[in-house]
Amino acid sequence: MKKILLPALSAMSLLLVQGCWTSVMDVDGSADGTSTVNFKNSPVDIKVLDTRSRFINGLMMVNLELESGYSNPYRLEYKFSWYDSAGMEIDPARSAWVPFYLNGRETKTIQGVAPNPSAKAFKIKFREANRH
Amino acid sequence: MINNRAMIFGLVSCGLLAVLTSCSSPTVKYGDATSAKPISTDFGSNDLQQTVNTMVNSMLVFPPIVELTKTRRPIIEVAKVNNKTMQHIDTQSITDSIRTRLLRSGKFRFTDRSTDGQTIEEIKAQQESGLNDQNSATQFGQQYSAEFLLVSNLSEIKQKNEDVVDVYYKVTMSLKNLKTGILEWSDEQEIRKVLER
Repeated sequence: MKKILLPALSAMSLLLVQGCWTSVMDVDGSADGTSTVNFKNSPVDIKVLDTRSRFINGLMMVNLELESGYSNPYRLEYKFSWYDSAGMEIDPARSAWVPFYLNGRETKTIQGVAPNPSAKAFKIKFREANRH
Repeated sequence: MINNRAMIFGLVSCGLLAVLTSCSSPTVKYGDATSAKPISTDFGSNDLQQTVNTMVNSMLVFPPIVELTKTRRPIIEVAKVNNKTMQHIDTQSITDSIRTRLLRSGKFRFTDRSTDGQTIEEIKAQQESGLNDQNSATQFGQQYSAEFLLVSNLSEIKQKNEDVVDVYYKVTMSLKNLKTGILEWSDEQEIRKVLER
């Protein structure tokens, strides 16, 4: 019985899961330089090596250095969200997902600039489609 | 036991049938406008969003531009993007998005040549229709002029064989000082899209 049931259920779940994105982690940070990494499901083998922020002409700029612990290439997407001093998100619908490709064991930097001077904190969301 | 088997079998079959029938019938639904999922190797919405994002960020933090926008908001006119690709791309939407993002940064002001016809019509109507108080009617020759022109090129290099289509896009933008002719800022955005059969 199990011989029939298992492949059938796997096939069904594969059909349902195909094309879905999975949240991987969020990185929250603020103007005072503090940042936290929150893994959404099980931790992935991506390390946040460094998070830096500074203000250029009143605009918050963020640098995030990531390192892949995988030996194979890893495809991700990320998206910046910006928050004002009251914690309200700025232009929530405008930020687009950016495809991001990490080669095996590679270290790469992500950079973002706030849309206007009212941004005092940020969140970077990461999601993956599938592992390669 | 037989009943149990029949029930599980029935459930699995119903599930599969539901999934398959939902795939076969055409449906319309709202999608994520910010999604980065590529559908083809053509220049798509996310390519546009990536380009706008990269260019605006690059311009806003470029040291001479930072210096320029520290105490005032320079006026820019955005020229149409030179589309050197073989595709029909609504390049106006690229420049519209760049203008919107730069305007919302609070660092620049813009003129808009594409609405000059309507502007002339409106000013003429204010002056000649007899409907407007002439003390408050807008006069010709009072508009500010752009100090800078934002110019852009979009090009593509396409390579393909039986199994792979590889398309490389390059968007180049420059900010030209109209008085001096000097390019104050320039940057490039590269996008590579690969279709494997």
